[in-house]
Amino acid sequence: MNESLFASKIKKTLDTGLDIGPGAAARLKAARERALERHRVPAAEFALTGRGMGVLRVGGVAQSWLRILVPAACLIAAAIGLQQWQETRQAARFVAQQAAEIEEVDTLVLTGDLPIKAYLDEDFQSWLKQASQ
Amino acid sequence: MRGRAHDNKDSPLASRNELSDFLADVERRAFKQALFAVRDEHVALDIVQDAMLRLAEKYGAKPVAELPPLFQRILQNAIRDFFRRQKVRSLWVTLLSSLAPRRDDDEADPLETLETAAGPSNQRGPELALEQSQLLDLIEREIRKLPARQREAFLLRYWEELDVAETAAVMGCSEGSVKTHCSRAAHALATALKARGIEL
Repeated sequence: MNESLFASKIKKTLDTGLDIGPGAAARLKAARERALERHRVPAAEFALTGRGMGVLRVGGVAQSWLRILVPAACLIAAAIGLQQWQETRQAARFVAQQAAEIEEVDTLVLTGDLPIKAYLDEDFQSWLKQASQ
Repeated sequence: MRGRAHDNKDSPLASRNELSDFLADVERRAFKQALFAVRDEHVALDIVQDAMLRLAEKYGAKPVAELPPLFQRILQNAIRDFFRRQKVRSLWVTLLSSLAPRRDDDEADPLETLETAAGPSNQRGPELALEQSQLLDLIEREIRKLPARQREAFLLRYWEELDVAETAAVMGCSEGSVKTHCSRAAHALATALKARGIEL
C-alpha cells in the first residue's frame, strides 16, 4: 500500500466533511473573533514600548519566577511554622510531665508515715541507698 | 501546510488579518480533530476556542509560518488536558458517569447523513453524494476508533500537512515514532475499509 497516496485520498474525503452546521460554525466564528480581540494586546505593547521592551521582558520573566517563588515561600513558611508548633507542643508536654512527677513524689512524701525530717537525715539517705541495692 | 512557507527564519510577524485568515482556515479541521478525540460537540468547540485564545494571547505575534505547528501543539495539549480533567472527575463520579448516556456518533441517525448529502450545496448526483457521505461517515468512524496517538499522528501529518519533524515536535515524540504511528493508522484504516469492500 502506498501510504501517502492512501492518506491523500483519506484527506480528500475528510475535507468534504467540513460542513459542520450553522451552530458550530457560528461558535467557531465567535471564538475566532474573541481570539483576535486578544491579539491586539501584544501588538500594542510592541508598538508603544520600544526601548522599554527589555524592561517588559524582565518584568515578564520576574512574573513567571514569582509564580514559582511565592507558592514555594508559602510552603517553606508553613513547614517552619509546623515544626515550631510541634516543638512548642513537645516542650509543654515535657513540663507537664515533670510537674506531674514532682506532684506524685510530693504526694507520696506527704501521705507517708515517715516524718519529713527523716529525708533530710544523711544517715537515712545512705541507708536508703544501701537498702535499695 | 496549506501552501505555507517552510523557511520561516525571516518571516514577518503575523498581522491581525493573517492570524484571522489562519484561524479561519484551520478552525473546522481543528474542531473535527477535537471531535474525533472527545466525541462531544460542545466540548470540542470549547477546546478549539481555548486553543485559539491561547494562540492569540501568547503566540499571536509569531511569524505566520510558525503558527500551524504552534496551534496544533496547543490544540493537542488542550485535548490531553480535557482527558486529564475527565480522569480526575471520573474518580469522584464513577457511578454516575457509567450511567450517563454516551454521546457517540456511532449510533447516529442515518437520515441525518442523507439530509446532509441531499443539501442544496451539493451539486452532484444524489447517488454519488450518498456514496460520498457514507464513505465519509465510515472513514470518520474508523478514525475515531484508532488509538489516540495513531489518530493524532495521522491527522497532523496528512490532514494538517505538517512534516514529520513538526509532527514529532507537536506530539513530543521521535520522528521514528511518528512514522510508525502513521503507518499503523494507515494500515488500520485500509484494513477496515477493505473489510467493507472499499478500496481507495
